[in-house]
Amino acid sequence: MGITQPDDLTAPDPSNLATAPPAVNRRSVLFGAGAAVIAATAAACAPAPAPTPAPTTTVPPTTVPPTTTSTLLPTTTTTQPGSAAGETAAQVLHIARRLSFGPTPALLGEIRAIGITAWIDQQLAWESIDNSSVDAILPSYPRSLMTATEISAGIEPWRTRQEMAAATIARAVWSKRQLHELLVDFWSNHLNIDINHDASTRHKPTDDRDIIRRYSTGKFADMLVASAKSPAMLLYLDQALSRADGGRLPIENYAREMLELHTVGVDGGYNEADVKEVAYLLSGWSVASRNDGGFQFRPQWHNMGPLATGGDVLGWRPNGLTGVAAGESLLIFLARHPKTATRLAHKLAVRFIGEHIHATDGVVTAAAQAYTANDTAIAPMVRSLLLSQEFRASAGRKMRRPVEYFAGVLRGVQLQWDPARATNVMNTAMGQLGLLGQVPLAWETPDGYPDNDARWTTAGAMVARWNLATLGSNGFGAPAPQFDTSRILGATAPSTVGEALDRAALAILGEPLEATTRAAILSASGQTNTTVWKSTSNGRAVIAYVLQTPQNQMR
Amino acid sequence: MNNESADINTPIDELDGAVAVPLLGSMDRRRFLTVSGVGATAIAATAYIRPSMFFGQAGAAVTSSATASGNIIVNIFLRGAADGLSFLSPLNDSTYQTLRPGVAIPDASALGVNNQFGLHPGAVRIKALLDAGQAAFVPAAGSPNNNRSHFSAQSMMDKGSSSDPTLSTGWLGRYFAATSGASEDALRGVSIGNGLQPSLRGSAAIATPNLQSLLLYSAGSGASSSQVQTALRAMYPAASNELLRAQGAAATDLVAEIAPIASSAAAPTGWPTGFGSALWPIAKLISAGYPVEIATADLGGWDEHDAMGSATDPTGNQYKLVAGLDTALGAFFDYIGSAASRTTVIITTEFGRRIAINGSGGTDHGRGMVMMVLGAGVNPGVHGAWPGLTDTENGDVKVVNDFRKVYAEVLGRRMRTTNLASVFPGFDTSQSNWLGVTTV
Repeated sequence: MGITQPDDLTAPDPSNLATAPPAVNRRSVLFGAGAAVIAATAAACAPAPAPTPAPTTTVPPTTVPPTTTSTLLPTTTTTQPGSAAGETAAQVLHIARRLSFGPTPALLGEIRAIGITAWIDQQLAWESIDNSSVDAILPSYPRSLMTATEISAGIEPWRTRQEMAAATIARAVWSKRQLHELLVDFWSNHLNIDINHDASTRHKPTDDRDIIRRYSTGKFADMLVASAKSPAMLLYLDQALSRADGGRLPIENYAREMLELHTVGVDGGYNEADVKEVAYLLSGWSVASRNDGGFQFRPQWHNMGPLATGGDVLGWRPNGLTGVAAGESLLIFLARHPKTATRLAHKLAVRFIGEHIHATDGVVTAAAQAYTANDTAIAPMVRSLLLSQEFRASAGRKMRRPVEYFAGVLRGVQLQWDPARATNVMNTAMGQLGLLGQVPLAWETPDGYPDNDARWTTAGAMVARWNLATLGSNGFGAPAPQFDTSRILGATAPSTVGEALDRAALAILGEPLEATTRAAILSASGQTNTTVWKSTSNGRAVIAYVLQTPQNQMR
Repeated sequence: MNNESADINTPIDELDGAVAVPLLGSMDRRRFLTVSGVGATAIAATAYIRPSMFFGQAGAAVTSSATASGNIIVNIFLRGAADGLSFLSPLNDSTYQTLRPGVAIPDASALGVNNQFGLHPGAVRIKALLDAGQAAFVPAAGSPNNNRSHFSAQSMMDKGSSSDPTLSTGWLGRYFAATSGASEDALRGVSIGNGLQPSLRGSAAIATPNLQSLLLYSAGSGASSSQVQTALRAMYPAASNELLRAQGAAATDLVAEIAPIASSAAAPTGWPTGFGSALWPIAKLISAGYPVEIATADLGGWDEHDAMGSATDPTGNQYKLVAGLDTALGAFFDYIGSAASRTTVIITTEFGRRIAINGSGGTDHGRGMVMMVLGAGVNPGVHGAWPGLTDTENGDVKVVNDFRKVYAEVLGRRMRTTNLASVFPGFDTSQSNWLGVTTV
C-alpha cells in the first residue's frame, strides 16, 4: 500500500516516472508530471494536427470524428457559438446535457449545425441514425444479443447480468442514438425487471431488445401488451405461476404492479376487488419453460373469475372475451386510460424537465393530450415536453444519477471503444456503479431506479463520485489511442495552467468553469492563472479536477 | 497515457498515492457534534474520547449527542432465507429428526440453550454470548406476508411492514426520521455494502463497502488527495445546486472525519474473511469512537435448496454458513471491547425453510424463522411462542411472532425511541406487544 507522505504533494503519475524529471519545488509543480508524456504520446500515435484556428463566430465542423476533433479552444473565449437555427450556446449546451449521457465537442457540433428542433426530431427518429458504433460493441457482450434459449444452451448463463450492464453502459457512452438510450432507460425502469431475479436473468436480453428498445418511441399500448407477455416480466412478478383452476386463488403480484406502476397509478381509481379481478383475468398467462422459450397461455389454468359474471375494472368489461383476447383488451384499455396518459406524461416530465413539475401543470396536460391524440404514441408526447417552454427554462434543474455520471465521465474524457478492453469496461462499470448503487437493469423492486436527486446525492456517494473522477481521468487506464489527453487539452501544449484548465472545461463541460471553482482548483494547487505550463505539468490532474466539479454533476 | 495503476481492478488500498488526508485547520465543524447543555448532561454517562483530529487539538474529550441513549444497533440481514431449524433446534423432537434425516442437529451435538432448544454445533461464539447472558432467540418469527417470495418478504422486512406497497422508506430510515434533530452527523447510520440496506431508506446514512472507499484518493493524477480535498472544500459551497452545496460539504467533512482511520483500516491479522469483512468497518468505527447509532450488513448464500450437509460436519454447506456467521460475530464483539456494553446486534432473515428436507438434501422456502438479538441489554434465552413442528402451515413452521415486535422492542429499549408508532405505521408497538428480548 503506497502511502505518500503528507508533504509529498506532487506524487507523479507512475507511468510517467521514466520521463518526468525530478520535481524541484514540489509545491509549485502540482501539475508537474505528464505533459511530456502527452506530447510524446500524441507524436507517437498520430500525426499532430496543425493548430486549428480558434473558432470564434463560425460554426465548427461537425463531421470530424471524435478521434481527431481538436478541442483546442481559446482560453479567453467565454462564449461558445450558438446554433445555425439561432439558439444560444447555453441553449445548445442545455440540450446536449439533458438529452444525452454527456456533452462532447462532437455532439455540441451536431446540435449547432442543424438547430435544436431538428436535432430532437432526428433523435426521435432513432432508427435512421447510424448505429455502427454499437454494432461493433455488442459482440463483445454476446449474451446481449442472445435469446433465453441460446443463453441456456451455453455456458455460464449468469454472465448475462454483467454483459447486459456493460452493453447498456457502452451504448450510453458510444451510441449516436443518445435520446433513444435515455428513453430506453426510462421505459426499462418504468417496466422494471431486476436482472438479478433468478428466473428472469436469461429472458432479460429479449425483453430489453424486443420490447423496451423496440417500442421506446412507439405506442405504449404495444409495449404494455408485449411486456405482459414477456417471460422475464411473467417470471419476475410471479405471473407465470398463477393459476385459478380448481378453486385456486391466482397470484396478484403482476396484476397489482401493472395497475399501480405500469398504467393508471396508485390513485388510478381501482380497488382491491379490481386487483383480484385482473389477477383472475390474467390467470394462465405463463411461459413455455423457465429457462427458454416464450409466452405461453395455459387455458387449463385460466379462470375469468368475477368478470365472467358482470364485474368491471374501471369501467372495462370483457363483453364475451376470454383468455388472451380478454387480457389484451384490458391492457389496451388501461394504456389508453386518461390516468395513464397523465401519469406517463408527468413521469417523463420529471425525468426530462425536473421534480418541480406537477401532474396538473400545463406542460404535462399538453404532453398527455399528444399521447392520447396519437393513440398512446410515445414520440409525440416526448416531443411535446422537449419543445416546451418549461423544458427550455429547466437548465440546471437535474442532477446526474450514477449511470449518467459514469457514462458522462467516459464521454468527457473522450474514451474510444476498444474491444480488447471490453472486460475492463465491464468490470469498471460493475465496480463503480455497484459502489454508487446503480448497476444497470439491477433495481430489485418493480418501481425502477428512483428519479429523485436527493436519493442519489448523499455524502458517501459524493466521495465515490470524486474518486470515480480520479480513476476516470485517464480513461480507467486505457492506453493511447483509446485515451489521449490531447483530445482534451489540445494538440499543442497550453501556455499556462489557466489555459489548460479552460481547455479541459470546454472539452468536458462544454462551458467555462464557474469562477469560484476555477479559483479553488488553482489555489489548492498553489498555482495562479498565469503559471507557465511546463513540459512536466500533469494534464491528468487538470482533467480529474474538472470531472469532480459541481458543474459536472449536472445534466 | 497509460496508467494501469489506476485501473479499477486494482484494489484501492494498493493504489499508489492513496494517502490519508491531513488535518485541515479550517475544517468547518458546523455539521459535527452539536452538544447542547441538556444533551451533554444526559449523555455524560456515555461520554467517550474521540480521536483528536476533529479539533486539531490533542486529547480533546468529545461527547456524542448523536443519541440520547449512546447505544448502537447492528442490523444483520441474512439474505436468501436462513434455515431457523439449523440455528435453534427443538430437542427431543421426533418429528424434527424424522423429517430431516442426515440434516437435523442431533440432540447430543446441540449446544444447550434450555431444556427445549439447542444451538447448532458451529455456533460456539453465539453459545458463549448466551452463557454470558447476551443472546436471545425468537423462533417461529416472521411476517404475516406469506407468499414465500424472497423478493417481497425481504422488501417488507426491510420496510418494517407486512404489506404496505406504498411505503418507500425502511424501518431504520424512519427511526432516523423519528429522531431527527439529535445530530446531523452522517455517520449516525452506516450501511456496509454496495448500496444502502433498504431498511435505511429515507435516511442520510452512509453506504460504503469499506472504510477505504470513504478515503479521498488521487492515485496517479499527480495532485495529492489533500490538495483535491482543499479544492473540493472550496468549490462545493459555491455550487449553484442546493443539494450539491450541502452534500458536497458533508462529503468533505466525512472524508476528513474518516481519514484518520481509513488510511490504516486494514483488519488485524487473523480477522475472519467472508462476513468478517463486512463487520470489520463497523467494529473499527465503533471502537474508534465514531457516533454510530445504526450499522447494517448483509450476508447472503442461505438459500440452501440442496446439500445442506450434516450438522456435525464442519465441511457441510449449512455448517460453514453458520460457523462463518458465528466466527465473524465473535471477532466483532472481541474487537469492540468495552463498546460491547452499548452495542446490540439483531439478526434476521426473510423467512425460514420447510421442516422436511427435499429429495436433494436441501430445504425449500418455508415460513417461520429464527431471529437473534445479541450483545448489550439482552434478556437471554428463548422468547415468544413456539407452535412446534406438528401444527404447521403447509409443512412449514408457523409464524406466530411478528418480526416487528423484536424491532420495536429493541428500538424502544435500547435506543429509547419514544415515537415507535411512526416507525411501524399500523402496527401495535406498545410494550404489551413486545416479547421480552431485552432487559428493562
